[in-house]
Amino acid sequence: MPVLSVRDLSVRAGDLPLVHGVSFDLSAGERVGLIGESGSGKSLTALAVMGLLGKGLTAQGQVLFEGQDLMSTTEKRRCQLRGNGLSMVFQEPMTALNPTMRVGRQIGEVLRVHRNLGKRAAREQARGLMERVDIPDPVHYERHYPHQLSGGQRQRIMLAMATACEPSVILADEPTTALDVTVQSRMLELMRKLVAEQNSALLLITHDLAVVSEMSDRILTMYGGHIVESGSTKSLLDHPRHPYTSALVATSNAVTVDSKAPAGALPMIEGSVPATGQFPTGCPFRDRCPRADEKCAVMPPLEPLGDQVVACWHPVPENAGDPASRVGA
Amino acid sequence: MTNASPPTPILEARNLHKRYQSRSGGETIALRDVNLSIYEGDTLGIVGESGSGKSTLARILLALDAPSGGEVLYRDQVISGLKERNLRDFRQHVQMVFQDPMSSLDPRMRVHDLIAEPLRSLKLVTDEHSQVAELLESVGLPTSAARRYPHQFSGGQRQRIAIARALGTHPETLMADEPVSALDVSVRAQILNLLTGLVRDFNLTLLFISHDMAVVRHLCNRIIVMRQGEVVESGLARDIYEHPQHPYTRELLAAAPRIRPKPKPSASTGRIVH
Repeated sequence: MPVLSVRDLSVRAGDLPLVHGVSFDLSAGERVGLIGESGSGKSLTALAVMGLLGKGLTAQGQVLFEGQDLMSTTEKRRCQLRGNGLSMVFQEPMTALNPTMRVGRQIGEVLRVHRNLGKRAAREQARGLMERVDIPDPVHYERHYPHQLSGGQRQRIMLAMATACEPSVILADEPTTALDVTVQSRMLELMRKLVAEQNSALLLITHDLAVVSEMSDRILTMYGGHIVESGSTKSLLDHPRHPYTSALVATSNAVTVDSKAPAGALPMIEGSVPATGQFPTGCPFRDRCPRADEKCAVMPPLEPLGDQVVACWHPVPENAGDPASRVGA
Repeated sequence: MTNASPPTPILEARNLHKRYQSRSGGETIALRDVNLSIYEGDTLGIVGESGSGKSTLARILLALDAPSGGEVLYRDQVISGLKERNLRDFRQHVQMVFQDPMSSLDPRMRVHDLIAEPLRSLKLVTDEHSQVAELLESVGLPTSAARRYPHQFSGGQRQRIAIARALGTHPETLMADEPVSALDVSVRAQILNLLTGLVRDFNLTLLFISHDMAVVRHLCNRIIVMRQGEVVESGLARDIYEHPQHPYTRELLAAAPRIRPKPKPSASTGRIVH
């Protein structure tokens, strides 16, 4: 049974729909990547699951956590679960951490709230958690404020807080995007280790296909507030069927450190992600899609296709050879 | 470093040092004895992580900042320490594109004025309207964009505006500091293709500063790897990517995330290029 089951989740700002009936499951120990460009609705989906949407945003649908629908539960119950059963790692620790509280106490606070630990016990455990996220000399660093730490250290502190109560579900929103590449690589390794040790389910939100390919078993692609494709990491990266996923994969494959020579034109997607509320009706990708026609004025249903599930009237053939022709670059 | 070095580099850095005084009286060394030569037609990538000194180096090479020691030469003329009025020729020929066009473009100016401003201040205006229209066209924007303001464009379009502004003075060298780092993947490809095309069509010498080893691999034929204010390795891109010598370069390359499973030969990069 999945530990988290999201059913027909929608987010809107007043009358403006931002996320359209998204459904997915996370099982214990499973790592799922949620990819897409900015404005695709990835972060809103995660925030809606956590019950952390900002003012003016409303969510509808079901978020079943261990069988219990969080959408119809009390805020008090959600508070008990947040940071305990489900936790979230944000992109920018400088805004997510409390700047006026020493980091040792911030980690300890999670344990005092959810585990009813006393001050001393919380401090002891916080030190252990800092060691677990590879912060050397916790007795020294616990007295630091967030601004006194490096970006990588701050992100480790946030990871220590998020994993303090061994949550069943961890949502990580671009957790390494702001980090240097060598720091990112160590942070990803650490996340892999902690998730495996705790058998947590991980939803990793990122725009970086290389990161998601190293970190996840399964991938969901979002565009314009819809999940447009999902499948195993291998099948989705080898044979993307939605034209949007296909274009992302082609352009990401073309720019890598293993390229042989500085090359000519890269495969690309025409235009840019529209501003909120400016997506076309029907398939949100149709005004940028080389395969689109009149039929795409109606949103295609998400249906099984080969090894994936795809929402497209004109999916990319499974054995499309040259990725450039798939993109129509 | 190059096989057949032309006699005079366009831009040369000799023993550059940069120190910052901190309030506590301590000293931060941002650059330590940096030497480099940029020749006509080079596409030089300066790579490094945060704190490596790559942006400090860029500012000093552009004479936006003075070095604490050493000097920068533009076509054999020392430009470090020159007054702005003596830098007009340099400003015309060496232009810059920054990471975040939202902060480098004045939000209160229309695109027309943003692009015309450098032409006016360097007295290069012949027919302002057609010059601006031509520049917009060269970066793939419609003429109608001239009437609008930066906030009315997407991130990628704003970066196109910044590039059009830089191209107006017919520079021979374009310096770009992380110009695609803030962009989405699909838009990044558009801007990289635009840069590649402009370098080819206008014979630009390109100085590309980035933390992204993959993007630099795509764009540059020579590389300088920086760490903590020092150049740790430099040479031809092909040599450095295929046979990195310095442990830090090897670490950077190993840490770069890769798409796994690796694309099969039929889907390799070589086939995407056309």
